[in-house]
Amino acid sequence: MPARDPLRVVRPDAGANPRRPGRELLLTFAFRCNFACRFCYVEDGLGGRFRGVALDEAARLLADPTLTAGVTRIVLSGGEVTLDKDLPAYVALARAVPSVEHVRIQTNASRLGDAALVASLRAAGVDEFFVSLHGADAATCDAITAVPGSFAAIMAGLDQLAAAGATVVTNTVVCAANVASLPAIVALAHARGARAAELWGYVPRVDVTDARDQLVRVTDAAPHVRQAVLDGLARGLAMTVKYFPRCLLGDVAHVHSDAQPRLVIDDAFWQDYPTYGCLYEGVCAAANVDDGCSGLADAYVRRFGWEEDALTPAIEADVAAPPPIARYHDWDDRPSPAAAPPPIDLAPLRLPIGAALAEHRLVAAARDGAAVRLQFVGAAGAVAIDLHPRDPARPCFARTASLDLTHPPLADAAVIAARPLFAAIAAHLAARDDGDLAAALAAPPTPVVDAAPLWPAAWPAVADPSVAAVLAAAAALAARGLLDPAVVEPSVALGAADAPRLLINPAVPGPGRDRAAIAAQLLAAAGAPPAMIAAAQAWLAEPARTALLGVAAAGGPARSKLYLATPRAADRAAAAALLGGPGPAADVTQLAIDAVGARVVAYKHYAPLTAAAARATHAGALTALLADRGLLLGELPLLGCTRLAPDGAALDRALHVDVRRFAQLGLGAAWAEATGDARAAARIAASGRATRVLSETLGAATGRHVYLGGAR
Amino acid sequence: MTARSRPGLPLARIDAIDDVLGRPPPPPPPAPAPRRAAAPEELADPDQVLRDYVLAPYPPLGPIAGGLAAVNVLIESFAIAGVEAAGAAVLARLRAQLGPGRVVWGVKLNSRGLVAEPPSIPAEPGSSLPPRRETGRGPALSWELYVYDPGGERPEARPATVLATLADVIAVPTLPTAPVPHHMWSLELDAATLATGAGARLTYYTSGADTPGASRSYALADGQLALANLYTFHDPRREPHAILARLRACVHLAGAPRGAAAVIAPGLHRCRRLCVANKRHADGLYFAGVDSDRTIAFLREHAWPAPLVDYLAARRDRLRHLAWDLALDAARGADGAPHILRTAIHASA
Ligand code: SF4
Repeated sequence: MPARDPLRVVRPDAGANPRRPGRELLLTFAFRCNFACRFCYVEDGLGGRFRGVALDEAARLLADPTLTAGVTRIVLSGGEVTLDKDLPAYVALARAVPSVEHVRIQTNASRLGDAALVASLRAAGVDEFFVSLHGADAATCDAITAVPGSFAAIMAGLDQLAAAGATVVTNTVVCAANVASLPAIVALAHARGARAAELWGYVPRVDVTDARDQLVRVTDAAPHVRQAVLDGLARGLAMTVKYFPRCLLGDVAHVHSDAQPRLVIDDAFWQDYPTYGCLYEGVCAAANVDDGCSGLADAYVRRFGWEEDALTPAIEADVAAPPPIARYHDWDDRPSPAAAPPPIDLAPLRLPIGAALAEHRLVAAARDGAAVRLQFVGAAGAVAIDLHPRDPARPCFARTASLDLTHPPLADAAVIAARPLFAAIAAHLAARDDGDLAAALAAPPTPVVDAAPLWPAAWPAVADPSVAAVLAAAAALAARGLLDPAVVEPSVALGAADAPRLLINPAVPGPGRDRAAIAAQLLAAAGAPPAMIAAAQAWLAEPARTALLGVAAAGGPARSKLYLATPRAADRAAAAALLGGPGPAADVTQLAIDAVGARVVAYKHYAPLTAAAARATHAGALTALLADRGLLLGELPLLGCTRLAPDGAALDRALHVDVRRFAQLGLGAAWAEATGDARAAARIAASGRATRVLSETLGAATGRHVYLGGAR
Repeated sequence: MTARSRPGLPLARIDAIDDVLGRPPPPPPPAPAPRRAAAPEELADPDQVLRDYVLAPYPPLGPIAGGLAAVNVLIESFAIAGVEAAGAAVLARLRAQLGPGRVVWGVKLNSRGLVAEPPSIPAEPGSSLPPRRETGRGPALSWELYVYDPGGERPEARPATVLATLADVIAVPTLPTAPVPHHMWSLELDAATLATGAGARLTYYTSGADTPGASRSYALADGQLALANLYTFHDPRREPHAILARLRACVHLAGAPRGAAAVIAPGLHRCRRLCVANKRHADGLYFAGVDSDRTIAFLREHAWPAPLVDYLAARRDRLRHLAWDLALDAARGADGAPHILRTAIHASA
């Protein structure tokens, strides 16, 4: 029964979408049909306009592991595929894909009353039949298909499939003519032996204005769809609903999935494919999951509207709490994509990608748990071979000193074709395996520690030992996927001696990332005081908190810095307690400390500034430069920084202007140029980095800095 | 769109199956449709920041290289209305005065006469405001040019300073002697204004901390200021409920059989910012950040002059980097349902 949150349904096996490697692949090749269903686009929409995928093209595509890797089900569709004489050949191609477990045909079943045809299709390798069933009685069904006798033919086909013991899944398009009989259709599907039933909202493809009058108001359809699902579930059918608002399904929302297989079809198919949407899609939890709800077709909205009063989005938690504002740098805290699995070093196998073996070519290698899968392609198609660490209990076609060699299930003909390859790889590996190959394959390649991407390549190497140590530590973390190179940001002090400076955000969450430990490691490399390291660790132990670290060469012990983002009052109090020093005002959104060696030399309080306040306190070269470039202070995020001595005395004030949105204006180099530091201007220009923040400190001494972005 | 944008297609596609199959590329697009404007087309400047109708910068939606500047559409609209020289002169003065990318422009199409008869607009007792121009007979293009000065930072953007530069091109309105608080002001022009120099309408826009995310406009006529419009700005992804609440409180939008779909067409709900406006005789919506394809469809749907729509459509590929800001005004008709009175397209120059 319903999941705890029925709207948020993620079923890994539901299909494939662009964000997930596909398990299902749909191949279309026969845009011809003996029915003329009123809602269908095949005959008048596709027939004659598009080509199906020809047999030779299908052979090429299905032999391409980049397309078929991981695919477990291939669906063959048209049109009515049983009208195509080449159907068995397509089925054979699908069966030859090593990972494929099921080959399904989409059919109206009208020709499947023929026992011989069913038997031949099953023998060719079809094990699933996706049967269109749009009416529960002859009158409704024949009116929809526009073919008298179609209902009887479909029933004969279903009966023959049941007699043959085939797996049958029915497919019903929810349309004006059948909506009231959906429960009866599901009952009929069950009575005729179906194991599953799918109900699809009508997809108005060619009929963009719904001139055929097929759309049904979703509020009218919902009770029938829900009843049909409940009846189906009670009979033990696996039920699926597609292209229907998930939020209208109530306690059966968990059967909804708009996931679809990857589709191999003529490109022209997409040109006028209907788009879907929902007014609530930005806040609805059901819209933002992998197999989520598509909402309503544009044609539906044009005819009936957005249904804004009937739809009930499940509000995403993060929408309820808007993100904190006024942050200094963009605290780039988006979770990084799952770290890519470490690459496989094929050198110990002496079998590089592209190597030829028994008239096959090695095209890819990938980890699959503890095994390594080698993907070969030969004239007869793709063949996968898995190398596992030795396990005496494992069935396999060959063993070497440390490896078991297996292959995924293959049709007999494919096994015969691949035998020379199996023999060749077994001999090849046996000759090279002294008992250490399994370990060599398992060990991730030694990380290549290369600091170059973190420090602009055109800049002189870093001589200061502390900054160099931080860079090396950051590079080592980056090589292990624990730090994005993009969060290591150099900055340049203008009009000053060339002293390397860095800001690093250690707080971006990611797989395996212990943010507190990362911060501690980097601060220790910078020679920061133990109290600063402890504060960073304590701060980052709280997952919602973010921090920045800084290190700058200071011609002796380096200057280390810790910045804590405090968008909320509670954060501010916690940060002040951790860092000590003068108490922050209520508008402070970031607290920081600076240390030289082990000694804290300053506390810094950052607060957002209005344009008027910035102008009042900082009418200087920086505001003049921005005005000269046509930028208004009012349109730029501004942050004021008050630097305080440990005794609370104000040392100076700085204005920080966030110019990231104007990266193309080259403001960093322009700022250096405007201050008369041509050397810094050249360095900034040569860095290839975008300028993020310009700052100007006015007080006892003027200080000017350009903060650059990390490597992208 | 952000927050995990969804593809418009419910089916997952395999990109470029044509590539996989090794088929030849499609034939090159046909030669661009002729244009009416005499001035050479302005190329997009890759070094210039693209800004929307509130001058907020936005990243290019496609490659800029070889693209056209948005302002070509404005110039073409002047040419189609037969006032290219005067329109271009006003624009040139403003650009020279304000700097590149600082002039926001809007072209409006008054749809009256194309749709159901509009409600009659009652004269306001005691008002000396002239009748609104859209009480005219048929579809007609008009323009509004907007000057932003958010923090009073720009002396060169003050109405008196700017109008002085236009005085020999059009008849400019007389300004109140005392300063008027505003973050933006605009000049409304039509073909008659540009052709004969008849008075352009000036409007002040104000916003303040009292109503975050909202602003008001005050129209100036005969030296008097009158409250004109009330605007609220929303993020359509995060604030659909706030937008719907606003729409439900708009008298001119009530009674639409299809609800919000009467004014929010499919696709426009994914705009970057949505503004709801209450006007004296209509309620309006503004959709910021709409791509060129959807903009062309919008203009076609609202029966914009074919030469202007064809101009955009024929140059679709050279306008891909741009995001447009679209608007519509709707008013309650005799049948109690909203009818579209006016549509508009905005960008900056
Ligand atoms: S609110 Fe919209 S997106 Fe959410 S479940 Fe309903 S129809 Fe789908």
